Formats: sequence, C-alpha cells, structure tokens
Amino acid sequence: MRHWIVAAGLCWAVSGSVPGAVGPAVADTNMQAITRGMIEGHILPSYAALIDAAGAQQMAVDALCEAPSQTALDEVRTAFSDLVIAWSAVEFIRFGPAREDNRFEKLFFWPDRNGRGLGQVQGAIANADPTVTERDSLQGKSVALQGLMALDFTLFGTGSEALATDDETATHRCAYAEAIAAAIASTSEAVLNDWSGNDGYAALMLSPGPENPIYRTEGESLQELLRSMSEQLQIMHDAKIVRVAGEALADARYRRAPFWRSGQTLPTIIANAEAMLALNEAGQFADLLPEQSQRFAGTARFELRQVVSRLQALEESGDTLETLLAGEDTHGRYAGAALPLSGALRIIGDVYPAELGLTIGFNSLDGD
Amino acid sequence: MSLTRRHFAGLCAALGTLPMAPLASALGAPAFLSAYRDENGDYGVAALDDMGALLFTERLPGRGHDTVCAPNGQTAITFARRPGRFALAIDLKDRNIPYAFEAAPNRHFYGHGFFSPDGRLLYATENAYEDERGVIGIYDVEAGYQRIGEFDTHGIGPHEAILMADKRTIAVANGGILTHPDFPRWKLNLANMVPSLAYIDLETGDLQELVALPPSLHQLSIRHMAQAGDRSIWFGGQFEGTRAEIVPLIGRHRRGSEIELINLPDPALSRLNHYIASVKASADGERIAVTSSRGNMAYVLDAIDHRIIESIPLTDVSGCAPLGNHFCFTTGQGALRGTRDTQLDLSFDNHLTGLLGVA
Repeated sequence: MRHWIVAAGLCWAVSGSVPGAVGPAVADTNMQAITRGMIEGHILPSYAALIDAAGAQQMAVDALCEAPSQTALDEVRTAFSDLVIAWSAVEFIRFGPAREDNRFEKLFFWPDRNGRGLGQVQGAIANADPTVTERDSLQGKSVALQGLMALDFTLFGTGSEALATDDETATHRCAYAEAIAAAIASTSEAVLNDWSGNDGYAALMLSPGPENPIYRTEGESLQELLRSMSEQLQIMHDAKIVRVAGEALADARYRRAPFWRSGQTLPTIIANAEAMLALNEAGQFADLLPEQSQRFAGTARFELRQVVSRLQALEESGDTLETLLAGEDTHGRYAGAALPLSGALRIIGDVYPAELGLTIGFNSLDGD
Repeated sequence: MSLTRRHFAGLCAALGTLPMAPLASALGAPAFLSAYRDENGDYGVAALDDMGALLFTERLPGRGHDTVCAPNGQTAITFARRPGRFALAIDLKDRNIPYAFEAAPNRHFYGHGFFSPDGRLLYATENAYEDERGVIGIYDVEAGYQRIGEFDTHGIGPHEAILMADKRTIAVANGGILTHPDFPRWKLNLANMVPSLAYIDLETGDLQELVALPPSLHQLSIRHMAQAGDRSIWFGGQFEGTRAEIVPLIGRHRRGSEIELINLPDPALSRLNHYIASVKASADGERIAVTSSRGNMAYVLDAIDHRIIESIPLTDVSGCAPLGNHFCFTTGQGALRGTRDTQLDLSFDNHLTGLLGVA
C-alpha cells in the first residue's frame, strides 16, 4: 500500500529545495548526493534484480513441476542460488517499504529460533497442505511459510530429491515451491513499487524537511542508510560468523547459518559484503566525505574486500559449511572474517557519521 | 547466585573495566540517580543533589538502565540494561561499598524493577529466554539479594513494572518483543508481537487482569508506565511498524475497562518519532510527563483532560523524574533540566530516578 505521503496528508515538490531545511549548505548537498547515490546506484537496481531472480526462479520451478527431472531440479537449484545472492544485496534494508506488512520477514524469516518456522514448512509438506500451493492463499499465511528459508528447505531439505521424480508427494512439494517463488516475486515487487515514483520512498528520503513525515533533514535520511548498513555488518559479524563459528572448533554450529542446506551460506555472506562495498562506491564516500576524512572510504573498502577475499578462498574449496567448520584451519579462517567486519563496522557505524557531523544521540540511537 | 564485592571485581575485570572506590564525600543528600556513560566509554551510575550537582558516581560493569530506591531511602538498585545480567546495590546514606548480584541462569534483566512496600523484597523484570516468556524475579534483600522465586508476566518482553498505589498490585508493561541473548538486541518476532499490560497480585503472583492493544496496533511495544492520581495507568510505547504510519504512542488504562489511546494533536504526535522513552507522574498525580529521545521532545500532559500543558524541546531527552508537581529531564548529552540547569561531561542513560519524597 502506498501511503508514505498520504498518511500525513502532505504534498511537496519531489525535487527542489525544501523550505526550512537547515544546516551547512555544502555538507547538506554532499549528504543528499550520498543518499541519492546509494538509493539510485544500489537500492533500486538491486530490488529490480531481486524481482528478476524471483521471476527466473518461478519459471524454473514451473518447468520442473511440468516435467520433473534431475536436470530441471538442478536448474531450479541454480536459480535459487541466483535468487539468494540477489536478496543478499538488499538484506540490509529493514526500514520503509520492507517493514510494511511484514514484508521483510515474509522474504527472509531468519533467525528461526527453535526451528518454529521450519516446523511449519515441514508440516505443510508432510500434510500436503492445499492452502500453500497457491500464491494468494500462501501470502495470507505465516511469514515463515512463504520466503527464502521456506524455499531453501523445500528445494534442498529432506525429501527434496523426490522433486526430480513423478512421485506423488513431490507434486505437492513442487507446487508449494512454485507458490513460494511467486510470493517472493510478488512481495519484492511490492517493495520496489513503494520505493519508486514521485510519491515513493526514494522521493521521501530525498525530500527531507519540516513537512516530511519521517525525515526532517538530509542528515536523517543518510543516517537511516548508515544505520542500516551498520546493523547489517553487526548481524554478519555476530550472527553469521561469530555465532556460527563459536569460540572454538568444538563450538562451531553450521546449522545456525542461513542457507546451509542449499550450500549458499558463504555465497550470501560474500554477497552481503559486496553490497556494502557497492554502497560505499555508490555513495561516493571517497569524494563526498569532508576532504580530511575521504581516506576512510578507502579503509572501509579495504576491510570489506578482506571479508570477501577470505570467504571466497573458503568457498572455492568446494567443501560444505559443515566440513569447513570441522577443520581447524578452515574454521579459523571462517571465524577470522569477523576481524575485517569489525573494522568495516567501525568505519561505517562510527567514523562516517562522526565525520559527516551526524551526531546520533546516546539514547535515540539505541533506546530501550 | 549472588556475588560478593570480590567477585564483582572479578566480573568487572573480565569485562574490561575496573571497579572504582566510592568517590568524593557526599556533601548534600542525593536527589537524583541516573545510569550514564562517561567520555571514556565507561559506564556508571551517578547521584546528583537537588540543584543538579554531581555528588558521587559508582562504576558499572556494563550499560545500566533504571535505578530503583528502597522505601527507607537507604539503598538503590541499578539494573543492567537488557540483555545485561548484573545489578548493583548502592548504599545512599552510609556510602558503604556497593554490592553486586547477578540474574539467575537462563535469565537476564530488562532493566526495571521495584521494592516491596516493606523494602524486604526486590522485584525485577527478566527474560526467561529459553522458554520465551517474561518473568518478574523476586529477591530477598536481607539474604544478600538471593533470588527466591519468580512470577510469570503473561507476556513476552516485560519492560517496566511498577507497584501500584494500592501496594498490592504489580502493573507490568509486556513489550511483546521476543529477544534472545544469542542475538543481542535483535527483535525476533516483529511480525506477530503481542504487547500487553498485565496486573499481577504482589503476594500470590496471580494474574488479575491482562489487556492488549487493538490488533491494528500490535506493533506498538508498551514499555514504560506511571500511575496517575486517579489510579489509571499511563503508558508510552515504541512503534515497530512502518514509520510512515502515524499511530498513537500514549495510552491510559483503568482497571476493568479497555485501553484508551491518547490522541495527541499533530504535529505534536509525529514529532515524537514513534518513540516514548520514559513516562512519569507528578507527585500529585495530576500531570504525566513523557519523553522522546528520538523526537528530541518532552511533553507534560494534564492527566485529567489529556491536553499538552508544556512542550520541552531538548536534544536526546530521555530521563524524567518528578520534582514535586514539576518534572526534571536528562539527556544523552549530559544536560539536566527542571532544577538548576546543569551540564555534565557524560551521557545520561534512559531513566532518571527522583529520590525526594522518599523517606
């Protein structure tokens, strides 16, 4: 639903200056340019790519359901890999259109503490629940049943091999997978639709001012993006690396990582880091930060490239996450990705806001 | 498990900070207490006098949240901020060495609590995170804050809990947000959170009444509360839905009836930025103060006609405490307002505790 502006009964010019906006002109211009660069250079095209990947996934599943075969299943699984990598580029956006109608959780219900969501997916398959095989009825059900984690189990979990056969049980499972893919495409489209156009969320972020229901200054818009990036880096560090690797080899728990079934844990974390790199470039921090602090953009780039190259080296081994986390050397290298992630977090979470003069209040940043 | 001073020193060392001996002699009587973070990034709790002068500080091993004072005014307890596990008992009168204790295994503090009317028991909101339910832990003060039991709060994420004026009923704000210390400060159930207000018998732990918000507001996390002079509970929420929606953030509840939402006029409402940080009642119960650190604004409301009496724009304002029938406010930038205006080189944390009026 499109009501970013309607909600407050407001109307303002999308471009042009906003009366009453205050602050140093140069800094504001730069902040606006950074925000615009990140939105137009990364967020909008990445959502468009997600929609394309979801569409491709849906077509591949459709072909599999029509004519089950190992080849068709392999193609479905390849399309899934493309889909979760596309998702990983926008995973950091947990505000605005993604918050509306629980769309974020509908796309990515993770972490799934106690396997509650997984239990629902397994139950729907075991009981051949007829209400999960149509997109519309599926979208009205639990968020855990209709997103990427549900598709991960459906296509890669126990019993998924039967999808390559004419087996009776596979028919329902395949139809469910197709409905999930359709739901993902539909939810992604709704998100991008709300970002786009003259009254979309992008316009809202780029028109801060006293009349704007959410962003009063250009700093607040940029702050939202930097905060989202920081949160994502924190999640990558805490939940995807540290909590999975544990303190020692014996504490490693590969099942705590997202997409371990499909073997997409490393590719998706790499894609998360590449998204942060892309944002660092799209925001042109190296040119638009105050001159004396532009070098920090290079530091952020260096740290993020470290994350990517360390994890890529592991991924290229072709081993499963379970195997990688069981080996002393590979476990240490996986855990070691936390270090450059911390470095990137420090730059993007602390240094950038400080250098831009975005003082985020002690209480307002992280209240309780 | 309770901790001795020596254990606490060990705990602090393990956390990378060192406990500090009590500071300068207390010249005046403490009038306010607040957790803080100092310029070095260290955490503590500060006592100020009624003119806002800093009397003394005590170091904390991590970020603190609210402080509650015993009925006799001798002891104050500062709780760790969620998902912290420490609590520090401070001797306000004789300035003995503080005494630290810890949450039970598989429990962490939410940062709020209160004493029983006779001061013998301390109650604290806690997360029973493996069971995904909220509890109120009960501590025997005389026995060195030994944990002697717990009550169910009948909801997830209990935040502030207060003892009502009848001295027999606990009012609890169940924020509704599921968290687990494995995912620090990560909200795990935004899609299906169910905040509520629970009334619990102080003696038996029995649930007396449980009220929820209308389904359209199920993402308004009820966090902080105060009781007005007419015995109604006023609460402030933090909205987890999309910020383009303008929703009421303040509500009022009288036992046995539905929740009444306070419809602040716009732009006063949208100015709050979907976030209420503290709710306090004046000494006479006729005024309610709410703060919004995210809106850089505090309002004082008339508890009878619900109008805004006073608007106080103040950057990063969060802490609030009654001073008679007026209010004092603290900010993350070290400002104290409402008595003699004071500016300290520290960040006051979310809550301010007023001690005047305590025995």
